[in-house]
Amino acid sequence: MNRLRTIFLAPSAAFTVILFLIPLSIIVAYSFLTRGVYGGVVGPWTLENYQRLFDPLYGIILWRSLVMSTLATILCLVIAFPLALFIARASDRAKGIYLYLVILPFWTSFLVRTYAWMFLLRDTGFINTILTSLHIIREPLPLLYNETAVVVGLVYGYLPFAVLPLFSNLDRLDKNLLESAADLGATPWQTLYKVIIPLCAPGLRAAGVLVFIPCLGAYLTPDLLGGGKSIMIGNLIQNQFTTARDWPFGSAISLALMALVMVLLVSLLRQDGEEAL
Amino acid sequence: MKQSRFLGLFAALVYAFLHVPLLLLCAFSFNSSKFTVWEGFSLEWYRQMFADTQLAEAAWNSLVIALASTVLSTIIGTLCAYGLWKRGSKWLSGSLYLSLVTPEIVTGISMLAFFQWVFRYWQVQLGMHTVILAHVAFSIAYVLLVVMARLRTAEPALEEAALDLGANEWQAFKLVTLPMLKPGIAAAALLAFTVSFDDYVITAMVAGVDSETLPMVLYAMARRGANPVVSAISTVIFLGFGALILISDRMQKA
Amino acid sequence: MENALALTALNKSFPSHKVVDGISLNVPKGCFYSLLGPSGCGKTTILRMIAGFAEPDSGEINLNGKRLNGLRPYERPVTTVFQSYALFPHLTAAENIAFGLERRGEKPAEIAPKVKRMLELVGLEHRADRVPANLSGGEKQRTALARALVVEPELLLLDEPLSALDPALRKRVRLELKQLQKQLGITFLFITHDQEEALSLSDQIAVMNKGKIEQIGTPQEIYLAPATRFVAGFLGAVNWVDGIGIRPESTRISRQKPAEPTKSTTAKVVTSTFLGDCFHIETTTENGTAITAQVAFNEEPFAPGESVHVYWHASDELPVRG
Repeated sequence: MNRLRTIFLAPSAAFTVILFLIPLSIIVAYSFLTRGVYGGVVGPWTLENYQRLFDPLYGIILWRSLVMSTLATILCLVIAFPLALFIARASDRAKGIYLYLVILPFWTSFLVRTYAWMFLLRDTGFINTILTSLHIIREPLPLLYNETAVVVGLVYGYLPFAVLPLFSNLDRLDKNLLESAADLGATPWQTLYKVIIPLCAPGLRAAGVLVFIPCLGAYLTPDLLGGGKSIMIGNLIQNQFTTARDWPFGSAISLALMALVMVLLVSLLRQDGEEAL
Repeated sequence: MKQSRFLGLFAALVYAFLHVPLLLLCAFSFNSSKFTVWEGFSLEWYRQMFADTQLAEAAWNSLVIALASTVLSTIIGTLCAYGLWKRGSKWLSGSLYLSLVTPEIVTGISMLAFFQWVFRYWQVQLGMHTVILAHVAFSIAYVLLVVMARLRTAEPALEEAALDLGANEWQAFKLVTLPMLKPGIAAAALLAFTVSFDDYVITAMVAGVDSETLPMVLYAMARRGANPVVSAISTVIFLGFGALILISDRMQKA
Repeated sequence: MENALALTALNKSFPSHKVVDGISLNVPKGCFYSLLGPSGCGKTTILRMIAGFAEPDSGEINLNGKRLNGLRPYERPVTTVFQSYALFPHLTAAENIAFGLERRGEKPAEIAPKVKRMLELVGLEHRADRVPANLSGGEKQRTALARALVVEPELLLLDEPLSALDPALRKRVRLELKQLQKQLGITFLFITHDQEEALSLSDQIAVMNKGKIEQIGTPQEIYLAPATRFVAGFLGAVNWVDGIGIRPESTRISRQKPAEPTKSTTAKVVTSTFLGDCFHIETTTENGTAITAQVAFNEEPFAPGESVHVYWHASDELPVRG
């Protein structure tokens, strides 16, 4: 068996080493090097790239990314929880359809979904056109290219990541538990606060992390919906590797982002074990 | 259990939030006006879409890349899932799951840095091949996830029974486990196809001049401003994926 | 009688404990041999080592003079009926049965009649084209049996094959299994934790506990002359009176002091339970020993609290050594 297993694992191991671990190691190495005159990477070894992360110029972008990701995560949980509860309470047949409807937009291109919001929010977009033609506004509202648009885009993009773990958590809850809480005189709201939400802590944590991680690393959403003013970590990294041609600094930011992601995941796994994923 | 009115209304609003933007986008792709005011039904934007040779080339590239990376990553990922199911390997599964949670932009720039570094010693350039390699690399983990989920529900005694009746390890895999995994592998392939066809961030980093993909063209068009042709392409992609899911759903039930 | 299977000084340890501890036993050719013991006693590990799913740390496994150690499962002339049956879900009953023959490279023309004969033997002709999901529990069990028998193994291993069946069906299948084994003359090694199953089916039984063999013998020997307290207790209920074991069905109760020259003691009735064909009466003696007796139901019922004499014949005492 061992020989067959070795043969079976060899291709994936090769791909993982060559196209994931080695590239990542290169980034680690670059992050301790210096930008060359023409944009290359040269010696000497230095910690300067990491020190620059605390430069207010970049610090504000890191801070904005954290704030917007947190906001998007909270919104996702607030929207996803009642929806997951609704789906969990539906009949078995309806459950499948309701879940399908949550996942369906997720299967279309991410670009298309982001473009749909550009279509709605831009100055000549759907919302402004409607409002103008109804004479509610005279000048188009500046809906696109701001932080609100980015947060809306993030929520729209990653909502299914919150609904699915919350649904599987709620669906496993014993229905009798909810009914007996009502029998004992609990109002629906009390049942929610005292029984359902505490029992959903693992689902809420998993949903939170699953939304927060892609939000933090988002590139397309802030790029297309935020314009130049609301850029996040992802855009900063991209910028360092293209326009700015400062690969060492771009590498340092990437590793800082990876470190954040790892800390989050490890804390989730510590809490809930591997089932959480 | 009785559904509360509040929950029902809330759910309806969330579903509207999820679907109305895409439905409006699709609807206005049939608008005869360039603007977001309905003037009448027209297929003008679809005509323009089909007339655009750059678009056609990009779509073709995307299809070739998605098919190639789907085939490769499905095979590699399935073999990997089976190997890890037999006996775990902490470093391999750990690395693959890490690749799954690594932000796309980080994967993209690290692959770009890697290819640049390799090309210093080897006279090769970025192109379709680098895109396909990159797509296979990030799709393997998705395939692993889906196929592994299926294997976890499998009965280990089935393979033992096959060995017991005279099948060697390869035959036990081919004749017993593989047929059982078919639905999982189909689902994994569909997922691999979708993530490959959809990817912009990593692709844009490792693509060369001859390997522009549909998402890259769409991105450029979207950045340039309002363009009903983008709506038309979106509609086609939307319907295409919808059909793909429906077909695969039917196939799994059959 | 010539031996089919010979295990010699077999040892196997898991990281936490020793599961098989110096097991040696011989299974005669054509014998229905049972390994009986509680779960975790190591019997399943022995079966897995014979089938080739696990390797012993030390010791020898020989089958008809051929050493099996180190051979892959598919190189061993041994087949298994799994506890879960492990039928291939995508193949029909007939295809499941043909699987082993195909692996041996037999031609379709040779396979078809063998499969047909085997289906007839286990009474599944009318289920040949059904997949396992559409077979009943008993039909699955028979398919698994047919699949393992059709390749004419030198030894058939059965891993608690009846435990997934409901009790009524289990008794019927037990009879069929015994008849089939006699008819085919194949050596059976049967693993079970159910003493009734082992007693009713086996020619010989090895009783195991904590990785060791406690006793080997015929069903009668093991039931009537258990070598150890463990064997005595595992095969049926035992009253232990001053270190002497008596089975409840050999224990008598009367209101008068028994006249016959028997061993007796006075006791008080604790409970009396009607079981249909008998009464199950629990008593305690003055020094607190619990004694249970099974009494035919036509006698006048004993009431709780009543003082009685409990007695038995010396010949019914279990000759337990250890």
